[in-house]
Amino acid sequence: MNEPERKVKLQIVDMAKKYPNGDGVEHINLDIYEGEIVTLLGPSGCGKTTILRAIGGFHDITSGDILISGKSIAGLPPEKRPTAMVFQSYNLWPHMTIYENLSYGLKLRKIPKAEIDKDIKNILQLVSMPGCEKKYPNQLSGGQQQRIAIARSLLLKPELLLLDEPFSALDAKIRQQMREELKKIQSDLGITVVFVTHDQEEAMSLSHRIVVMNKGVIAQVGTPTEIYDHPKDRYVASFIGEMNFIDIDNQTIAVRPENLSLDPQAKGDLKATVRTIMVLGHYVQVTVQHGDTVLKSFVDREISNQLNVGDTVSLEIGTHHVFAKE
Amino acid sequence: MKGKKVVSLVIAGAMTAAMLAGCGSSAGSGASNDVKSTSAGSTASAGNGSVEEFNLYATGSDNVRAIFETLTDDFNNNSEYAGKYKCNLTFMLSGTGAASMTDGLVAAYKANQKDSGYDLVDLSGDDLSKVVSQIGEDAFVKLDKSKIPNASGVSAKSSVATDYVQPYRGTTVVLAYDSDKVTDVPKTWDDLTNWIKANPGRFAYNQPGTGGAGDSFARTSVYNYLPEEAFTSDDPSWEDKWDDGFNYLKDIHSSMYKSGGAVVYPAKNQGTLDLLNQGEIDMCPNWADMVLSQRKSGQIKDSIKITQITDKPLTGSLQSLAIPTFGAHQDAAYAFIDYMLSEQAQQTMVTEMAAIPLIDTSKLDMSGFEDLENLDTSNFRIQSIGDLSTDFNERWDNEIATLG
Amino acid sequence: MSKAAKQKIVAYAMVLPAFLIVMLTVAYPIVNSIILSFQDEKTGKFTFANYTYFFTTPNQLKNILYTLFVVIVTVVLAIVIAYLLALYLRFNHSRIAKCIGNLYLLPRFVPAMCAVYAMITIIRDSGLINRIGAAFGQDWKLGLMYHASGLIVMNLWFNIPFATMMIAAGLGAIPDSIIEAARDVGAGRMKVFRAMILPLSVKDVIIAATFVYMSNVGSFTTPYLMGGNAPKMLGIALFDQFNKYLDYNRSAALSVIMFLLCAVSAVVYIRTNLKDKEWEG
Repeated sequence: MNEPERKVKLQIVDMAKKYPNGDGVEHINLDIYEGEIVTLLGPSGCGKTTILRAIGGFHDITSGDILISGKSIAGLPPEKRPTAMVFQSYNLWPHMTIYENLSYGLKLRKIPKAEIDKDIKNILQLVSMPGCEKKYPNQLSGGQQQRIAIARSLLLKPELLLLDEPFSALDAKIRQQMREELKKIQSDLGITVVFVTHDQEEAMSLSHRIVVMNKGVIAQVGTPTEIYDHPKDRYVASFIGEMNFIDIDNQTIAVRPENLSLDPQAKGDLKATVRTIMVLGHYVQVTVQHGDTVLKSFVDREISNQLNVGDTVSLEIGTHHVFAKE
Repeated sequence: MKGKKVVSLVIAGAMTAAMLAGCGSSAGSGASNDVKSTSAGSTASAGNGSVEEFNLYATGSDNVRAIFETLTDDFNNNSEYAGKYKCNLTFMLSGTGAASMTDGLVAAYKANQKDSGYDLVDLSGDDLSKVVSQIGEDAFVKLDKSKIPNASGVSAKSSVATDYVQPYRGTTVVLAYDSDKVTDVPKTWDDLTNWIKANPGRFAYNQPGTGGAGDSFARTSVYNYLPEEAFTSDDPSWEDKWDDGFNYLKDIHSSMYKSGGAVVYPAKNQGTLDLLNQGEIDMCPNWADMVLSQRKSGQIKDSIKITQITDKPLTGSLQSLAIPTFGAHQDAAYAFIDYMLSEQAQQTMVTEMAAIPLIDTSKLDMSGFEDLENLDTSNFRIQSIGDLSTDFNERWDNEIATLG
Repeated sequence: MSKAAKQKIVAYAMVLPAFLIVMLTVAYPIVNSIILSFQDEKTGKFTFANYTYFFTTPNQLKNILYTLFVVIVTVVLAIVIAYLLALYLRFNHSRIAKCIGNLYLLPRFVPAMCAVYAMITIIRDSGLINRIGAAFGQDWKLGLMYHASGLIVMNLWFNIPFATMMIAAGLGAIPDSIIEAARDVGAGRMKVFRAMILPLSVKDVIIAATFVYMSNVGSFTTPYLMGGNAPKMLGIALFDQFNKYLDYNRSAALSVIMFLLCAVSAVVYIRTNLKDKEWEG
């Protein structure tokens, strides 16, 4: 993914944005390559949206610089930036038809009407919503509105598409579908996308690279597998996927449930007691108590059939990470 | 969507209704006066059955209300009649049309009520003429002066229904002027006319119909051209003879106070008095009591003094009490009339409202109100032109106000 | 009795007092006024004379036109100023804006009479402004008292806070993302205003305008204390007819005329409110 010949599209250099109350982000350094989907991931208040809005021009920055294709955009107002933003909700202008919503930005750019009409037709095809030009936003469902919002952004052929939790207000099934479509559109057009979410599953399924944010600073940058397999610290480990933490001596062992096996014969040294057994289809989730901590393990049916609540088992730790004890 | 429409309709309906009510209430403002019933003083023994209660109806501005509350309270608690009679005051605030108390009185008479509750009424000269013209003086009890010992020293007499009403205080319109600016104080009407013309923009009178001072000035101006008897007549034929007087008002119009390039007649007595106090004018007609009480309280400058025209004085008015025949409790009513002419009550009226006392001023403390002693109540120039006043005001509004 | 029927009776019983009060205090006087307005003062016979008087007598006609002039100038200025103020409050997040946002309604809580007298002491030819001028050796005579311009100044004082409140509520309902999305596609501040903020708030502006219009057509206190002698606002003209000339039939006719003038804006208000545009759904 990080082949050296790839062109850097967006470069953030030691950027800081501080709010009057002291919150904000600092020491943000990030390169995003052309054609990449990069997700800013973190809990609310971690600063991910602040970074996105700074790129879009909706915040001025306190220090540092933002460059697109090598040119600084830090001082420009949103309308002068080659970016397009899709917001969480209320993207569309309620008093305009879908056609008017889509054509507004193009008209500002003095594009001939025939061309506008053609572009709109094509883009509505792309987001699978042909023929809705005459409708008003309130006549569309939430998912449809977000498709139009994405279409409107794409029509302007931005160098960078910014999405601020665009699917968070939609229900789970539509959200899933929208992710797939976004990914397809992105690969069709080869456009660079910065996506903000607090949903790690969304980040994992959508992104080429994930930027995990923690309290205003970047915790780790990497591909989904890198982040999943090699979390840099306990925070990242806990935030991405499920993780058990076992304190042994002066260390914390982090092991994912699928890497924690149980021995019904309890031959090992790490003893634990079975608390619950839950069959989740082709695998079984078993929780066990080890000292004061409850641990989670995914085992197959063959093992679970030998277990009863209250049994003593021993733990076998497979692939794991070691962090300094907190 | 339907629900929203219904809500909108209801709101719109309510709004329309409120608006209509607004229009309606302004149209009805004259009829619905601010009625304030005050039961003054409640000492007089709850268990004592010998206290005779009676009702007093009065009307006027808010300062008059305060005086009446003080006096009734004093009557009920401190006077020689305390414990014997108890006065219940019903006060109707004027200012939005003073027709109501007199209307009520007339209505009660015409309805042939016996115990109407109107045991004693307080009437200004204008109100008295109005009532008498409608129901006659016989609607009131012919007063037995022996029951009003304090009236023996009172020389002022009402020109209307003389034997049926008892005047108890007076006031008159005078010329108020700033003594720092006016050195040649006018003595006669001609002096005044000359002064006005020699000092353009320094004189103002308030719009007739918005206050008695302006009424008095405008009517005196007009009736100076008519025989004296016309001033107390409501015969419509006099209207034809107003022309000379209105020409006089037109003549002095251009010398009146100006604001924004046009002549302005302020609303209300206070309007001209404020201009005088602010130094925007140097002279205006105003009520003696108003000027003096405001000067005493420091609301207006000490340099403001009053004077009366000697040959054709501005009109004054006597305030009188009368006992309607259709009320009850006559003895109590007599007692209150007598109380109002006591030194104590007269002193209160001088001190609190700068009224002209009707008893011998040597018995009263006149300090601060010495100006009053020069105003002779026995030859007050009274005006009562009855319903002609509405035509007068309308003509003034149409001919003088519109001169610009 | 069925439960539904009982509920219905309870519902009607709850509405009844309000209904009766409205009928008694609103509907009855209105009907009465309308009947009175078509009656001859002396004979009580049907006539249009009470109406023709106001439209043919030059002074009365001037009063009507003067009232409309004062009211319309008041509406236009109040709405423009209120709109600018509301925009400032909506989009400026400075401490000053916050402060103004907390204080701008204050004039609503000052009793009308006090406010008018306070204004008079400031703007009269011998008032505060004149005295400030005098300190610099100037003699400023504003000429606002007893003049239409003074009335308009006072009306603005009363109406700007109210109009601002209504428009600010409308502007507050426009989400930031709508404006940001417009900036994002390339619209500058003026274009955002013309294409987004104005169309999305125009309804509130019209409603605010109708309220300002209505409350000023029948205004009394301000013109009574600050107005000139002629021409007059209709509120004063009505006062004259009723209290000074005691002509109740003409008073009724003038009330109806004023009501009709108000009704113009009521119609605008109702239309604005009822006409659900397709997008408002």
